[in-house]
Amino acid sequence: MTRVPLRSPAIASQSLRAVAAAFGLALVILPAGAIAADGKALYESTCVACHGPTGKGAIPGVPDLATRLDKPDAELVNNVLNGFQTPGSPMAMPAKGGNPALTAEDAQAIIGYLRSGAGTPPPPSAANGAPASPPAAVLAPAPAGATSAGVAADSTAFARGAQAWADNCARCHAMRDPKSLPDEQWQVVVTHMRLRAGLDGAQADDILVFLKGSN
Amino acid sequence: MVVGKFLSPVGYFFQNLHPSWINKLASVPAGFGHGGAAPLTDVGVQLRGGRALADGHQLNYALYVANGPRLGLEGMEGLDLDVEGSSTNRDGERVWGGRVGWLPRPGLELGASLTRGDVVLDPGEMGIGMAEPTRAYRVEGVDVAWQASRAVSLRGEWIRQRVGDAPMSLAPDGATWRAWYVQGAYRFGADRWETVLRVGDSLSPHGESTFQQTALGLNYLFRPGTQLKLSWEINDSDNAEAEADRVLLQLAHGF
Repeated sequence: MTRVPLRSPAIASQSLRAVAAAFGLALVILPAGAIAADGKALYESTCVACHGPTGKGAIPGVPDLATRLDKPDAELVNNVLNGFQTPGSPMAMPAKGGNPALTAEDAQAIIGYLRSGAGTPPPPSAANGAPASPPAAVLAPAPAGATSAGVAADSTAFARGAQAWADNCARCHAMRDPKSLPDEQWQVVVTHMRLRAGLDGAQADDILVFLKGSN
Repeated sequence: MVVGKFLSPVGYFFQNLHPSWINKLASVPAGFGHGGAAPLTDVGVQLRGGRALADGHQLNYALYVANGPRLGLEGMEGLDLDVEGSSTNRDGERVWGGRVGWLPRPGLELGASLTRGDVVLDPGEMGIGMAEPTRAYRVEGVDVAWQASRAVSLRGEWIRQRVGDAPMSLAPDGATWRAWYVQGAYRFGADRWETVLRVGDSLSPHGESTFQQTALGLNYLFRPGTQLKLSWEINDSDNAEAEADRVLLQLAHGF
């Protein structure tokens, strides 16, 4: 068996410091569009399955986000992190959109991305003449890896599961709230629905990851 | 793999949409219930699954071998098809077939169903001492479902069962059961309310199962699996029993 030599702790520490310094520098000099791209990537990995590419909602029970962006950033971040149910809607959004890796900085980046879209209203503080929510480029620096952890979710089973859940379940019945059942019951339901909906094994596994991650 | 008694994989409505908390109206479409054109349940072996294809296409399939229906008599010569599966295969014949569904993109599904096999008339007391011949049993069906937008869903299905002629039988003439429906639904009011329009037609050897139907519905969803449904059916038939219009109120709750 080939042994891979380990780097010394000192060298590893220097490398980490260099990466951290580069990350901090990037936060200072990157244009707003570059940071907004993180918000876009996060939105497309965590939110798009239910909210759709335009934010207007991909499935019944999900409201048009354009009608929700008149709230202050702090309230929207809180809703993203803790989950939210629009009054009168049968569907509740799970905490962190069901993505356990999502941080407060990630949520802020997503909101920044949504606000950057054409036609989305500014937060009320800006309308009142007070300072608006900070532009994405001057957001408080995220802990190293915070945003990248969220973006990394793009390639995880969670994101695929969210998409498969949105694409397949509403073919026959009204969408269920992912928080409506405990994990062990979702296990039984997905096993049954794999048979009923003609899902392949990978899709069923991904949907289960999404549903458990949303609880 | 499914072994035992199962919802027939032929056609779409009964295997996927008939539970009351899924069906958007308080009644099943014309010809898709008992005595209708669509097989309901069967006993045998079934293989089901799906496959994600390139470019976002998706395929699902259900193939089966089963005991098939029981063919009996209604009156002296009228054929009666019992499409409820039984563990007792009285005629000793088997049927095979299934359904294939193709999703060229999420929200649009096109399906086709087929069954082939043989049945033997069970004439009951009228046929004591007579040997009944084997006759062909055929089912064909197509279905389509389209989630046109997050508020609008459209679907339709056509299905036909046929039993062949058997000149040496007590009931020599074959029979055909055929049904179709199209349905549209619209969600509004924060997705709590839903209106439904369904138009369908059922053809059967029996008058009480031959009718045209237009159904209107208004639903209120307390939760995704709990809804109150008010339905109004307008039925048109030469048979007085099938001609009657109905108003139905149903509270449905499912998982």
